[in-house]
Amino acid sequence: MGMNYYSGSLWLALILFFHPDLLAQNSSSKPLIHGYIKDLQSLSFEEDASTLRSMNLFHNRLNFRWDISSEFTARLEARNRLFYGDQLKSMPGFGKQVARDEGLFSLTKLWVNEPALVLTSTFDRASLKYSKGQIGITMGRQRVNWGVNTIWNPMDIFNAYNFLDFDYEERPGSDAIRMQYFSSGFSAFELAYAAADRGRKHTAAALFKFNKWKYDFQVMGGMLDEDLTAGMAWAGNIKEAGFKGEVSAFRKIMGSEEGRDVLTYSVMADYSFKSSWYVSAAFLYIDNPLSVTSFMQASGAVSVSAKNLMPFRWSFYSGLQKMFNPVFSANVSIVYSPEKNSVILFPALAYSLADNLNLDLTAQSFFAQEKNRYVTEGTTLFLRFRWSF
Amino acid sequence: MSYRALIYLGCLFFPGLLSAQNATEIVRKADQHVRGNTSVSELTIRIIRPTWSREMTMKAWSKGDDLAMILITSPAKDRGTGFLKRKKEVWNWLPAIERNVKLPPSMMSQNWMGTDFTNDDLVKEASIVVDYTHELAGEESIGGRNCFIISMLPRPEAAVVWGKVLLWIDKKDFMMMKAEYYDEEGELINLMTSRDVRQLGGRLIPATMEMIPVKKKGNKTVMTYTQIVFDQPLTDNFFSIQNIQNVK
Repeated sequence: MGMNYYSGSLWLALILFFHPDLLAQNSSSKPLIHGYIKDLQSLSFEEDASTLRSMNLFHNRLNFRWDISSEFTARLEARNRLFYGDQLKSMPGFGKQVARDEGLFSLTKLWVNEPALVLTSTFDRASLKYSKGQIGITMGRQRVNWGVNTIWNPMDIFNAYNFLDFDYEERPGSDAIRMQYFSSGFSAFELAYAAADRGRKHTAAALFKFNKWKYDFQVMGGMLDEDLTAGMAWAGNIKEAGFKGEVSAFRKIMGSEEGRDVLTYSVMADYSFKSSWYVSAAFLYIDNPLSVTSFMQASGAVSVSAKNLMPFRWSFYSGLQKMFNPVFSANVSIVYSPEKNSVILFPALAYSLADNLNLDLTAQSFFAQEKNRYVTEGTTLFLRFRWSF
Repeated sequence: MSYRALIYLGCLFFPGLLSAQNATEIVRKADQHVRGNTSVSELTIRIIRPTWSREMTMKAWSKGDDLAMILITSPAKDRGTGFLKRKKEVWNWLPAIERNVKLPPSMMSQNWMGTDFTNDDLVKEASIVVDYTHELAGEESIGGRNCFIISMLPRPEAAVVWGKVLLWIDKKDFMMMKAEYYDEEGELINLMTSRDVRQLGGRLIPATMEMIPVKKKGNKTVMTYTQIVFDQPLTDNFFSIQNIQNVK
């Protein structure tokens, strides 16, 4: 991809950033552009509120889709983000961190990197898909999503994501070639190869999935960077409750000394009550976790791997959601680890103002045992406004 | 005792015996009438509450009892979201993260995307023909149309949300003109009424259905078919995790 072409595309994206409805009003019956504008105001504080710091993220997403023919579909999805606020001043290197592109090509541009102002654009999807009969071939930046759980996905080896990054609902893509063969209904065979870090890292794996006894099953084998990896997952139900699980093992077979063999698995169950309550519970186990000291520290990590979805050996999740009416719902998620009795409290309220306008209030609080004291490591409140088009 | 007298007695003590066969046949015809062998439809759902309303549009495909697919076309936030049903299993396609999430069976009794219809009403995991026993409970005229009243009780093994359902089915064209949904305690929960009878896809169909939760004043959900095509050939494989990503 030539540099000029690339910069030109980014400029086009930026123009659209400020005039999103320019093309959304396209009068054809199948509009080619969708997306949203979000504004996320956050307020962070530690145990005493004297450390109050704020940040604002103005965020625009543009999804282009072009059905070239009945067989070819092109997708280009841009994400433009403008961060500002005094909190940035206390986070040196923030601009570089959020504008880090881990792909084969850098499709990210850091336009402005000032102490209290950061502007960045990225293409997190840029792919061409060929689909004919039972075959699908996708090339380019895409999400190769091999998880089955809704909380933690040890099988998501191509583009694992940080579960606390709730604002990035699309999650990152990877620069990959993916071949899919769908034999029937739910059965499929897939081969995928992805290159990352400008070609320094490689992931290649095969996946087979099938449906049997009303369960979805999938098995996977391949390479993740320097590790040989194998995994399996299931999704089914016990009576009326959902029951899903994923296991992955990673064995270092080449490269440098500092690698780790890891066995990780996650099991979850969920249930909906007639009264519009939804409960879910999950755990994640990592036999050889990274030496990270807290959830709080891990929450800032931009890159997460399927090997270390959470910092500790054991993480337990429970979630409770209630839809009061079609426009108002509330949920609370709690993550607990026996390691220093660490807790993340993650409540959220969601309100729909109109068909395409949403308002959410979310909080993330981190607690942990420190010496003889149980402390609040930090709390962030997020107020988010979203207009979808 | 003559054979005829035996039947007569049987019917006296088990009135359901005689009508069950017919009642099931009536329900089957009504079900077949809106379903066809296959159907492809476009519809609008409007949720009405005392102080606000919301609207969504979608496209739906079905084949027999076992296969169905729904694609949300608006609002923008949910566009591209899909639901795939194969027999008793339901998957939810989330386009933003490009993944199918299998839904727990208990989610079928939930209100569908906040409407007064349950997931089950839309995805039709439960079949009004197979999952209930049927009995003719009378006749009544609805909007100038003579209707059978069918009383339906869920079969013990069926995963059905309701304790009892009453259906009013038009005698001539087998249209479902009204339905009452009762909970397990026998209380009326939802009332469905049909109107706007017209030709859609070559059949006489009530284009508009209203679902009213009777205990919630001022609440209702209105579902309107804007287009239906019946009996277009669709292979079983059309209803697949592959196609739910591609359908438009």
